[in-house]
Amino acid sequence: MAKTLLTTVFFLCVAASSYASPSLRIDKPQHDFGTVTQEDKVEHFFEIENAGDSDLVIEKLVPS
Amino acid sequence: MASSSRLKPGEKGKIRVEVNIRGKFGNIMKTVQVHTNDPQRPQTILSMKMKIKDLIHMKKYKAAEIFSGACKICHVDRGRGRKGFDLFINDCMMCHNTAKSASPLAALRAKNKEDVERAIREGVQKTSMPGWDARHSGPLFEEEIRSLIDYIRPVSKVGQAN
Repeated sequence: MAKTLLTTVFFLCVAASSYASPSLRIDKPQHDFGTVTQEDKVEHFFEIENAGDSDLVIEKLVPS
Repeated sequence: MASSSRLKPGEKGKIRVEVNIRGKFGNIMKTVQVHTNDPQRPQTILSMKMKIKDLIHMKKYKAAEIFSGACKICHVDRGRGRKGFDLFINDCMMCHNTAKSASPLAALRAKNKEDVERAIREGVQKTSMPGWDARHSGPLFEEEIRSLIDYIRPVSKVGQAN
């Protein structure tokens, strides 16, 4: 009986975690700086949003 | 680079990307891969493009000006201590390249040897080709000039035996 209950709890947890998930939303993932003159650097802020229903973790950013 | 590495549901944030463009010009494309715990899309690519205007080479300079000031860093210093092919690559190729402003190597090789030698030593009037010979205020000494001529090796039409 206890075993059945534990198994049920286990499956409920799995079900819950698979339904709640983070979702990264970036409306504008491309940016065009246009024509820039020679300078040292240019910068841009990409706006992001977590459109999911659990915490979104940005693990790493890899530049080209 | 990101304002926060963790976003709660519904939370907004920013990813700041800085592109170093010192010394670059032309069309540039940069990308950043964003790795997250989003199960649907663990990797997303951000991309940026730009056209960098070359302000340095827009102005019309006198030929000899490239041996002084900021121009010297590319037009003189890169060739220091080099000879022959190595010197040609560093001092000449930036202009003497196909699709560039001056005649490419093949065209130089088809020229008269005396003309090539004079052009290297004294420069060419009304063009951006400067005189490289130290005796004409250029940065190259005799041995270096000779190594360039030997590398280009045009056949002299004057002394050519048929």
